Amino acid sequence: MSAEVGLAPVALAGTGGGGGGLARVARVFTGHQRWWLGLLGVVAVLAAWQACAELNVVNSAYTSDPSSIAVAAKGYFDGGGGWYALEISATEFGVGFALSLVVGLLVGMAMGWWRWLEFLVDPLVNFGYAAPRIALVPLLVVWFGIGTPSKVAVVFLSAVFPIIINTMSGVKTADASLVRVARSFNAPSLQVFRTVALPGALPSIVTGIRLGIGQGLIGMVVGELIASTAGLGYTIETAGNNFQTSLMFVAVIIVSGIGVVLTQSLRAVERRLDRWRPDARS
Amino acid sequence: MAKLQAPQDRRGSRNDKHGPVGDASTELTIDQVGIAFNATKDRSSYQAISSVSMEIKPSEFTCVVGPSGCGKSSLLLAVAGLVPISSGSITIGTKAITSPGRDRAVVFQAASLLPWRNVLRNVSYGLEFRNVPRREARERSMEVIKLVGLEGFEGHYPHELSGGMQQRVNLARALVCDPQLLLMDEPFAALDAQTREYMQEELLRVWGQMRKSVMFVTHQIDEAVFLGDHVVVLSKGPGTTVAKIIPVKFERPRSDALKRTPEFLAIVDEIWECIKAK
Repeated sequence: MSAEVGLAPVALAGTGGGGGGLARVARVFTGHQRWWLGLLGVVAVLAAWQACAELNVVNSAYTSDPSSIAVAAKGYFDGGGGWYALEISATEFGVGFALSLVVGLLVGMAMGWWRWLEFLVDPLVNFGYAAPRIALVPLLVVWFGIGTPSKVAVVFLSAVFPIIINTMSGVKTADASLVRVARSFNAPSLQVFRTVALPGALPSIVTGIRLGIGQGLIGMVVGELIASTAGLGYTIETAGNNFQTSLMFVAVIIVSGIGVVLTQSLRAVERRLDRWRPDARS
Repeated sequence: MAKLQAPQDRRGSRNDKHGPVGDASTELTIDQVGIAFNATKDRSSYQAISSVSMEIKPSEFTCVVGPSGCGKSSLLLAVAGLVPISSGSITIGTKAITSPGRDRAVVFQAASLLPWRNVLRNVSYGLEFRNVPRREARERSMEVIKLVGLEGFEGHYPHELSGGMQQRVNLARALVCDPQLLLMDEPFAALDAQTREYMQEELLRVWGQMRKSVMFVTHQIDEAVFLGDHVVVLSKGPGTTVAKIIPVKFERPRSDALKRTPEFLAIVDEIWECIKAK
């Protein structure tokens, strides 16, 4: 059995360039399965969409289609205000999310570590998490104006609670036996936190940040939909009102794309920090 | 605070490095110690141990056995400074114990290794709180890793090790701190019988080289007799006291064959009777 497997590539290579190339292509495909299967799914959906529009199964005035969206995207970034909208939205999200990251991690860690603080702040956090924060947008506009600051506030309020809650629960559930080991070595409280609670909380923290990214992006778009003068959400709003279906999709796709890129980068960071963990899935 | 204590630690480790510890200050005295637990629900108090007295002389290996639930682990954790005592006193030399200290190190029942650290960084863990320079910590850790027979595994993560190997790391993590008194809380209880026997011999080999004072808690009577210079037998809880202290005078180094000699079995029987009597 093992000899057969071992011989196979040699035999293939011997049959000439064609066979060797094919084998190499096959290896590349099995090696990057995750990547090309994902791509295949996206391409299939786009092709089906385009076909439905071409065959008039759906009215492309309402649904648009991938090729029209591509044309609209070109126009949007070629003097159609796309870069400006992207810059505005990116600033709003960037500043708001950075703030929620700093506040969310610090508050979450502190609540997870000191029980009295959890008792003190937990009702407020639960209240804030359950509140329909998007509904506060008009109020935030009154407080911070119609420009960037009010969207920063929306993004912050949307992202901070999932980060607080997940960070707290991760720190809180620190392995008691490991904490005891640290204490037996006379470790100061801060060191127990740094060496035991924090690394143990990492998966929860990453989950919180991931949820925060999604919530923050939604906050950004909805904030701009409700009251704004610029940004991707503003584009979605105006394009929708003017029946520019393709342009609307362009903005929607950019927002989702940002979400995907951020989540993927987060996963890369997590993999680096979490290299020790055995994968239970095959 | 940690900085102030650092030089003291280094002095201690230098003394310990040269041969067996000989000064009387390493002696552990447990004097009429009681341990009570408070139930959080109804504020009632459960007297796990009412009065236990025993002594451990320098370089002596003392085992503590007793029926399950008698509080032997609690007693060990009290010596470690992790469980408060309700009466009596525990002193090392002349110093009363109220909290964990660098004169003691604990080998826990579960290996309790940090899963995100490799063997080397798990072993050097305790040194991080003692201001030992990074390089010295690494060297000392490698030395102990070699001593417990894990050379070549220093880069492995705990989940890549067998139960027996994890316990070796657990032991190494305590030894690297160079404590005067090593506290072992049923360290082999979770291992299979074969590995346990092997680890017992390994422990004696390592102890033969370091000659620390050891307090070893176990529920396995033959293990206690095989390892110890004395076996302290505790009575049934609650309200545990010392039922008997039995000296074990077999020559060292001891080998596995000892466990089948009539003299050995006689002591095991004696302890059994003592535990059953109550």
